[in-house]
Amino acid sequence: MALVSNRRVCPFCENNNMKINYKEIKILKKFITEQGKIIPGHVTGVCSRHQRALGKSIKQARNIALLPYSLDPRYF
Amino acid sequence: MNFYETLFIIHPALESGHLKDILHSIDENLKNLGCKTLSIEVWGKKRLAYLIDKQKYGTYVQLQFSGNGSCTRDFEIELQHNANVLSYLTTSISKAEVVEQEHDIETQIAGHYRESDVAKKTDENKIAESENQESKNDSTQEAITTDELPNTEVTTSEKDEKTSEEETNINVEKNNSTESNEE
Repeated sequence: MALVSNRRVCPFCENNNMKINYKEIKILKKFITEQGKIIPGHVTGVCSRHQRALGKSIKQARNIALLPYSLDPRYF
Repeated sequence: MNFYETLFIIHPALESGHLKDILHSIDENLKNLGCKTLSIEVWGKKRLAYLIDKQKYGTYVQLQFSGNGSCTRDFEIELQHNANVLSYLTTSISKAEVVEQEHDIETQIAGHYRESDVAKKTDENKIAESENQESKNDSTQEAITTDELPNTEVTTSEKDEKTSEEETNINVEKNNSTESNEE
């Protein structure tokens, strides 16, 4: 029986074209919940190095009103 | 010499003329502080993720400049005191991230306000495409009807033949009648 690993690869390590930047909201929106919370790395499969950069850029985007600090999911 | 990028939001009520004046004044302030502006890019009016000063929308402007670390602090103080600037964010960037400015501020502002026209044009194009599709459908329907037409033509030709035959019969009868009268 062949060994099949369930381990996910970090999307940023896999694809070098995906750059983490506070201006690229389309990428950042994939890593926040409906409420606007940052999804932990062990859920999304992002490595710790890129998760740190993600958190930083999401917080920067929140500061300049590109992303919300919090959203009420009842209004979706 | 370091490279910096400032993204700031300008009040949405300000339009082309006022926006241009404010951008020029900010640019002059930067020059007075000893910085060199590398590029100014107007992103246009966007919806904010949350209200700032009771405003839903804001005009985003990205400004890249080079200078010493001390000039960013003075520049941020000036942005703070500017009532037209809702919010700002300054980050340090590498030289590779510096973007070349393609158009002037005026054309960018004009282009920004043409976006609505572009949207209208795309809508018009969509409408035109839908109309073309409808016309194509009509043409196909016509083609279908034309396929059916030959039968009708045949019937009409038959009718014509019939009418011509009748006419000839009538003429023959007339001739006969004239001949009888002559006699």
